[in-house]
Amino acid sequence: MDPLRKIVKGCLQNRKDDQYRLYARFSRKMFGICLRYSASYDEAQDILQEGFVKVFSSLPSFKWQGSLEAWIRRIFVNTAIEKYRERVYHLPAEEVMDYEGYSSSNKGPDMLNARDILALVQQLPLQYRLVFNLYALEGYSHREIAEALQIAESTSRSNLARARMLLKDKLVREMQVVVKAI
Amino acid sequence: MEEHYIDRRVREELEGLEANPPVEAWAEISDALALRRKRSVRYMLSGIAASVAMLAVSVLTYWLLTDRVDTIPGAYSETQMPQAISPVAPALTVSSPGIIMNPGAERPEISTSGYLFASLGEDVLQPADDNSLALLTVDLPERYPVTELMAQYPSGSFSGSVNKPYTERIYDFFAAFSSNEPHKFRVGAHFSPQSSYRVYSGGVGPAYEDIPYGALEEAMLTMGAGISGYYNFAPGWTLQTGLNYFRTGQYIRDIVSYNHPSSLPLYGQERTTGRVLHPQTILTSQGSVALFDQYHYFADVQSSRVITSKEGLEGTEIRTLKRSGEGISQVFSYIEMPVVFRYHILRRGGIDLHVKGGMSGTYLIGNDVYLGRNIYQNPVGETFGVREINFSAIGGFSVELPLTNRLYLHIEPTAQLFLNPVLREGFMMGHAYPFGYSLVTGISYGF
Repeated sequence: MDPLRKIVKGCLQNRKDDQYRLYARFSRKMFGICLRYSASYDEAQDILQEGFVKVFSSLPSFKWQGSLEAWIRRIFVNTAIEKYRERVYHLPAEEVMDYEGYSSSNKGPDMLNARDILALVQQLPLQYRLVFNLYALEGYSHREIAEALQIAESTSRSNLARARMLLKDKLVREMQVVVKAI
Repeated sequence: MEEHYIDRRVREELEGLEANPPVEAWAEISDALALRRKRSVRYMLSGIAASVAMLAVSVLTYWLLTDRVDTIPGAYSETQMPQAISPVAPALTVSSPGIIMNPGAERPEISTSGYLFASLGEDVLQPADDNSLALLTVDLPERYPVTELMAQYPSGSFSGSVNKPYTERIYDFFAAFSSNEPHKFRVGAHFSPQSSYRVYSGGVGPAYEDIPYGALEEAMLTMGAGISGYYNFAPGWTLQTGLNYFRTGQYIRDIVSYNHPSSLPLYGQERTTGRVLHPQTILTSQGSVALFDQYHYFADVQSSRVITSKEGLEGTEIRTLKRSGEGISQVFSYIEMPVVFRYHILRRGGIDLHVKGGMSGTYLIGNDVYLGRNIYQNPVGETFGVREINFSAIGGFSVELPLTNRLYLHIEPTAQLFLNPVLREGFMMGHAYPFGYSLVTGISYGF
């Protein structure tokens, strides 16, 4: 039997060792996703925990009609969206939408590594970050984003434009720092 | 549509992003899953318990509030119209067999004029309940001698409520559901295969919090045996006590043992006490295991549960060792004195079903750690700080099959949970409460 199917079978029988194996297999990738959707390491950890609990609880509904990884990834994206909805109800609108500022890494755009780019994305305002992630990395359409976040399609478009502008602004500034240095 | 360059730049960097989650993440997920399972079981049990309780209360309420009608043969018929009676009681007519109506009242007067005839075994009439008034009303003094009424209606009879005290009704209630226990006393013996494990919550200190015990330990199968005495003290109710021996514990996975290729001892012994100077301790959710085996070196292949003191073997020595086994079993043996109440709930085809519940006191008589899954040979260590006196809750069902007039076979699915942690205060890393599911199987003899 395919080792992954064996692990899933064990998880369905509530075998803790198999649950741990499944976690060990996907936790690094999923934590990468969690980091993209969150503003901090702690927040990412919350999404990771909640996401895996949902994965284990929902495994009986997985029918092997697609890739397990894609299915798990979908759960994590949905968990991030749910977290956003929870936060939206508790935060004043300006905190969801406002520009929060960036930290400087003093590197040119091509010299920025994944960690630096992640830091830029993490510093986007909550709603911009979510819209940008869903559009640019998950391939959602504006209509799908609008439905998921319960916002207007036009809001999704403007949030994406603002997110791009903020990221571009930062990249340009970084480039200027590099040019001056040369 | 062409991809925006910002989107492309970010996607290229972050699409395949991987990062190590915090070390405690799995422990938290594991705990959350355990809590979820526990909650779902708790909800299910609560639902069952609530349903059973509601059903029991409904039946009991119905039983207590509904008057049981004892009809005496020869009830009135329409042809047996009573004649005028003494000035004390007004003229009565019969509206239907067994029911007497006051001809003067179009609607029954509930508050003052309605009385239901009591059991004819009583010598006075008792006030009726509200439900009965519509059927049977008559203007009579509150306490009207039945004998006098009977004299005026010599051929008649009355339906009436049995106004027994509630204590007697409760007794009747239980008695009606229970078959008569043929023996006042019984003695029996049993053995009990048991799946035992523990409920664990929380670890204290950084060394313990990082270890996902839930993923590294599992239930184990043990055997127990005992003798019991039964006393049938009320209809359907039996008190059971006795003396049991049972073992509980858990299997610890991913601890690998190594020994010398020529099976030479790896550690020395104290000259005076003969105690083995084993430099290793193994952490489990049910305490720290002190090792006293001269021949084995242990390593944890999943976590950091094996702690080795500086007197431990050197790297070069370790590399010469040969892998000899995997896993250890942590076992505690107890003598138990239970006090259990059994209630008879069903008899079908001569087979009786009881529900049982109670408590027990247990005394620790054995504390061993074995290599692998064989829990009967070659102990290699023991657990620090195990509590000697414990209390536990017991619940389950009992199916009894009569083998002869006096001999019965018992099959009893039973659950048991320790009410106190397995370790003494000061030795606890978290809180581990042993529990077990057993199938108690035995015979009893009635006399």
